[in-house]
Amino acid sequence: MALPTPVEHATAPDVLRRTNVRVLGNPEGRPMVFAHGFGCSQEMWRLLTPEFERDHLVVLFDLVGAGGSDLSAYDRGRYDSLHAHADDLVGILTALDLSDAVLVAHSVSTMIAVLAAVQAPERVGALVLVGPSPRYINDEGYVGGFERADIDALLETLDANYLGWSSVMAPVVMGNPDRPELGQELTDSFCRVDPAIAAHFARVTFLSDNRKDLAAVRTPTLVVQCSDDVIAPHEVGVFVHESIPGSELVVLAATGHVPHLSAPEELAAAMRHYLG
Amino acid sequence: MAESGGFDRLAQSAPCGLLATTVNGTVLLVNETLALWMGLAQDDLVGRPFEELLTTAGRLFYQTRYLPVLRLQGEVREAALTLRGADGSERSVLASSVQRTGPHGDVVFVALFDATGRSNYERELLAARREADRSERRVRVLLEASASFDGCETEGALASALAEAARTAAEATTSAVFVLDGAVLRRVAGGMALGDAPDDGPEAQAARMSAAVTVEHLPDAARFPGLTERLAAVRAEAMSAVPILAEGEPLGVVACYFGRARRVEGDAGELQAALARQAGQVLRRIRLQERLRHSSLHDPLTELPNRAHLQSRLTEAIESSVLTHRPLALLFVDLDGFKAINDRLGHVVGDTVLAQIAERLRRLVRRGDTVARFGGDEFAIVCAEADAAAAVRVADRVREAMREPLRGVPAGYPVTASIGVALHEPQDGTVSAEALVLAADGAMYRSKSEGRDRNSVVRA
Repeated sequence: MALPTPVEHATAPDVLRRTNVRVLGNPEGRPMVFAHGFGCSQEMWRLLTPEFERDHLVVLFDLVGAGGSDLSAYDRGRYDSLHAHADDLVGILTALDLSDAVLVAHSVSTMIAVLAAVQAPERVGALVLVGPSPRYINDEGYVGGFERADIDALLETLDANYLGWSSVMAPVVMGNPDRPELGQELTDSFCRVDPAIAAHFARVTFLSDNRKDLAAVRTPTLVVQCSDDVIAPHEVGVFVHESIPGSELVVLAATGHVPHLSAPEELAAAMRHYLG
Repeated sequence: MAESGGFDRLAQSAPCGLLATTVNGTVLLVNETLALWMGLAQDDLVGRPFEELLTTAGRLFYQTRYLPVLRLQGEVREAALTLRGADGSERSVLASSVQRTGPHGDVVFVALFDATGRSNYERELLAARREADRSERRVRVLLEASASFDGCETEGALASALAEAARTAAEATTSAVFVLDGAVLRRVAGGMALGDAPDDGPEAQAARMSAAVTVEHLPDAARFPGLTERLAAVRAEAMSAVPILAEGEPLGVVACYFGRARRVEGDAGELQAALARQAGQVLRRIRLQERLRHSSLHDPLTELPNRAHLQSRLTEAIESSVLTHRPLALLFVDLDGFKAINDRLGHVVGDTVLAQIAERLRRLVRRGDTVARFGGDEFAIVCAEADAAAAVRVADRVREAMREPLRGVPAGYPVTASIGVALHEPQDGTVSAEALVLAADGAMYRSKSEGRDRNSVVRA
């Protein structure tokens, strides 16, 4: 049987620049790497990370294609599955020479963290998966929460938000179709996105299936489930918990999909309780 | 303001939906317009999460994008969302929100503008633009590929260019090009971990059927033995294999491997096929050139290098002998008794004799030696790094091999070889190819005149 392709770790400074890595906190502390979810960037963690900066080395980064990452590195073929993002994450751990790191991951990044932990278990000491979902679309005997048609409609919604006004209309209106960045400025200054990449990344996020990867995790794992999370319903959290051997499941009182913004204290407390 | 009902009246029946929510999105207050749009009483809406008023796709966007931006920035402007009314009807709206601190904590004020007309228009505009982008991209991919293929002089270079063009065009994680080598589909570019394509795989099927073969997802891969493992080796879950055809003949296969389930159809499949067609024509051209080059350097009867080829091999061997300070030998082999065969048994038999002799010579020389047909019944052998003893050993083996009976030649037609060996030692100074040939030829004549079937050695 053929062996897996060797991971192409870019040279150290390269991956750190490509993913816009920022290192904060206590250099003596246990490393904690925060991986943001779909729709935003590392800014999403700004209410949670202060809780850990005193006693942890805090590492923040942007998925390639998001926030301040190197957009030119977004090769749609390479980033057509979560593996390339996982390679980047392992690349960051390697470049910073981290071991026993806690990977705190949200939404789509939970599966990226799972792949990274399977790929480099010697560097990852714990996984904290916030609102994980290995597959969003319902399947036989599996509740993901969505139908394919819902995802197609989401792609249309993204079009309407990113392409509809900001990128297609604005340059036309402003008479500068050659300078799309003028249109770009109309989009939100937080969680900046490139419209075309966002649409592609939405497909990768919502159409991937990583259920089979969960069983390979040997890293201690905390599954954090919010109450009433429409994106990652309770059944999905239970599925992830039951599929990762030895994992723990905690259900927060916080509602919605982004507890690190809506209830950072509660999330921090759950993490501290688990990590001890 | 009294006759118009004041601000309350304005807020209730303004031509836009207005509402206030907690920071977590629980509805505190809605206006009449929004209740009317939703087909519900105002009181029924209070206490519900705002996201429940949205379509599923709207909720996805609201949770992953709208709320985070609102929390980080305190406001969101003109986000496109879709409301779903009590009767299931949908309404596109542009939503702007702002977070304000009030006496009872933070409150979010939301204004929703009906954008049905605009969003339909934008959708059409976007669809038209995407269509234009697609055809522009298609033309660009084909033009770029055409330029890069035309610059290729070898099969390997072409295969690499095709693999990369197909990978980029299909946005595939990995691609590979396989070329038919007899019955084997040999991997010549891309997808290192894939190895040669097995007989029972989709790549081989594409070559056999001269048609594209696609595998859309992992369960589908089970149709082909071992494919799941091969896909895992390149971390792929789907693939498409397209034959490289020239004049209808399959020459190979270009295959794309995708990181997740993928349905390759329409434009995408057609583009891969178009690239394969372009490459097929170039591959045919390269092979034709290779054949022409080969035939200009080889003797068609024996397939041995011809005189021109010998000349360049000899020049190379002399250069390398100068560099390595090693000796070099050139053997001239002239057949004795061949003229009788040709004259009495005919050219056809003569030709089979030459072919058989060529085959014997090819077999008995050392690796790295060059056997050439010099002309008529004369052969030459370049023995690199051979001193006198080694050259004589080769010559003796040649004469020995001549004594074996020849197929199609009756008894009474013996064939032997008169051999001349020109030996060049580094200490003899420089020598030209012409001088070596002349010396070997002279030595061969000496063998002939001294009674045939023997070796003569000269230094040159």
